[in-house]
Amino acid sequence: MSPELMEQLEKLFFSGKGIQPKYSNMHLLMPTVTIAVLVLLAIIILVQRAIRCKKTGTPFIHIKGYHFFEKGFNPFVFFVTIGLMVGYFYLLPVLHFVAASIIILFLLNILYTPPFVVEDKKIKGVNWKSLLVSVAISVVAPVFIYLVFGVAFGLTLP
Amino acid sequence: MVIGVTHVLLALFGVAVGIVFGAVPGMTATMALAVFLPLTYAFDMAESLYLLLGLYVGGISGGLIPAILINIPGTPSSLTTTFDGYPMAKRGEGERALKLGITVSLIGGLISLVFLAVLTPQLALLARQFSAVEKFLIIFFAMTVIAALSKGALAKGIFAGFAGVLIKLMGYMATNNKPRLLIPGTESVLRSGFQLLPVLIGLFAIATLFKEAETGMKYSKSDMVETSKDAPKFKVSQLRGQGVNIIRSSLLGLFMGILPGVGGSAASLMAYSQAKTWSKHPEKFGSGIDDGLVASESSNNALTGGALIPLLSLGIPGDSTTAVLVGAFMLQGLQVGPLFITENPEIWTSILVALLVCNLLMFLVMYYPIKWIAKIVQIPKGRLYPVILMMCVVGAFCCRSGVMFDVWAMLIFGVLAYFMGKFKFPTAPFLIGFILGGDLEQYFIEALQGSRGSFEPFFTRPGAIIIWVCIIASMAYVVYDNMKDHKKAKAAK
Repeated sequence: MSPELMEQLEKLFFSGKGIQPKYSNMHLLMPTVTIAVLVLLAIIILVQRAIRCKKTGTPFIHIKGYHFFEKGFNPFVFFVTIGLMVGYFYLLPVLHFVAASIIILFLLNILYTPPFVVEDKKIKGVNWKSLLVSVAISVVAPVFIYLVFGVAFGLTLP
Repeated sequence: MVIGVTHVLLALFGVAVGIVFGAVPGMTATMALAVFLPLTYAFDMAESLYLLLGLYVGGISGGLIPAILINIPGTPSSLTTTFDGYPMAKRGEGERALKLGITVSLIGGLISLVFLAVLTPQLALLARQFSAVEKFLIIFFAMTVIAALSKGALAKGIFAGFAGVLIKLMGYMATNNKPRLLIPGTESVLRSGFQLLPVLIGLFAIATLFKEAETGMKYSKSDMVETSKDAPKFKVSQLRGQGVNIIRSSLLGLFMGILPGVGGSAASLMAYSQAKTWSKHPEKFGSGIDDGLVASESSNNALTGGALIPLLSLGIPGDSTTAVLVGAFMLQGLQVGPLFITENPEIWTSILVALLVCNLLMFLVMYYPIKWIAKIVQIPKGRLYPVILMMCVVGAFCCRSGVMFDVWAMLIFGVLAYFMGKFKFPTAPFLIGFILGGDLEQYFIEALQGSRGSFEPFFTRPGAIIIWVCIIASMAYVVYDNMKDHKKAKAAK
């Protein structure tokens, strides 16, 4: 290491002329350090991946044969869940908590536990017990939460 | 008041609900705390603690039910319970295995309570000597330990931790009221940054909901073993010869709980492997031997007390579940750290009494009606998750008394955690980084201001040197452990 570099490092670490946070700029110090650490780590992670891919002979960006979703992926349930969740959050300020929750809980219940009698992959009828349970949960749960949280405990609900 | 009728009823409710969350695969004790945390707005600190510690103890303990009966761990900490619990159940000893697990869970919980009561004040006393330099390095150490236990993904673990720190820094800095890292248009809603509750609920509840929705909220009950009437019964005398195993496993669970960011799965894996190493019959492990089940369940319950030690003495959560407890303290306006016990002696006593009561209630609730409790595993997830989503919305909305942005923030962090899971980035370090990010910055700036910009104290103060040795030791252990696993994998091929 050259004497000039040693002198500079010594100044930085031991002479108090390193990083001195001022009132006007101290809010930028930690974000800068954190982003620098993240960039360094991102490079390390990518290099590790490159080395691993070279050793195993797999492509760096694995597209062919790559499975993002779990085995047994159900696209209908998955994407409708996301849609209903987003719809729920939009409905809350419009219909308020109880009404919005009853609608969305009912739809989610019949999405996850369809109230149909299925034979040979065909819908033969309605499972009234399952439908009744869905209705019961959809109505009782939001009303219970409203009465306990909203009324008894005085919490602010949407 | 330290204990009253309300407190016991809240503890009972917490334990019962926690057991449900622990027993349904895919739901965790952390999720239970995150979902019920908003309820604590309505209670004082002591009452909140009884509820939340009940959820914690119940959640950790409930995981043994599906682990033994359907070979699926209810919580990550019950993974090793499946190794011997399920074979015992297949032999017709399911009820005996459940009662054995519940009994040693109680013993492990009580052992860790004793150490919590003794060690925490001593550690707090030591921590009061720390300057901003040591406090900064302790948090940095905590983050490296968390990342170190992200098996095989040290860099990703540290990345997740610092990503959590960066997210925490978004908003206006309290000291000079200047904005940073803000997306235009979000200045008003992100004035004080993202709130802890939406982040918590998003990371641990919404992300899990997405993951379960991928497979249509289904799981197979076909491997469930029914408890038989003619099976051998559990007797306390069966614990004879398990004394050393129970104490060793409980102490390991306690120690792993003290290490910040370590989860129950690491604790129970460590205890199980040590029990196997020290056993006279290691070849029997995995075939349904009592020793394996005892090691697993006593260690994961001992973790509960251990994880509270760094939280209450240093202000650093021992695991993701105690990270949620930080939220409870913040809601009540309390600061955890070295001065917590001296400034809040009644709350400290409440914590100890609450843990004792919750452990005893867990035993009573699970042991006697275990045949009925076991039916929890049959509750369809498709019925539970819509209600959980609704409670998540209530929780996120309530945290600032009615800001819809927090509900959307919960969704954002749920999506983030979902993608983090897909790309194998651990979420526990992210949460710990988010919680500790503010303190990390504060101590870093204080330390630099104190040393007039010099980094010298970070490397020359005696306390700092000790902490650096611990940081290097934990990173070296990880590298060594990864190399060992790599060699094993190569030898197996």
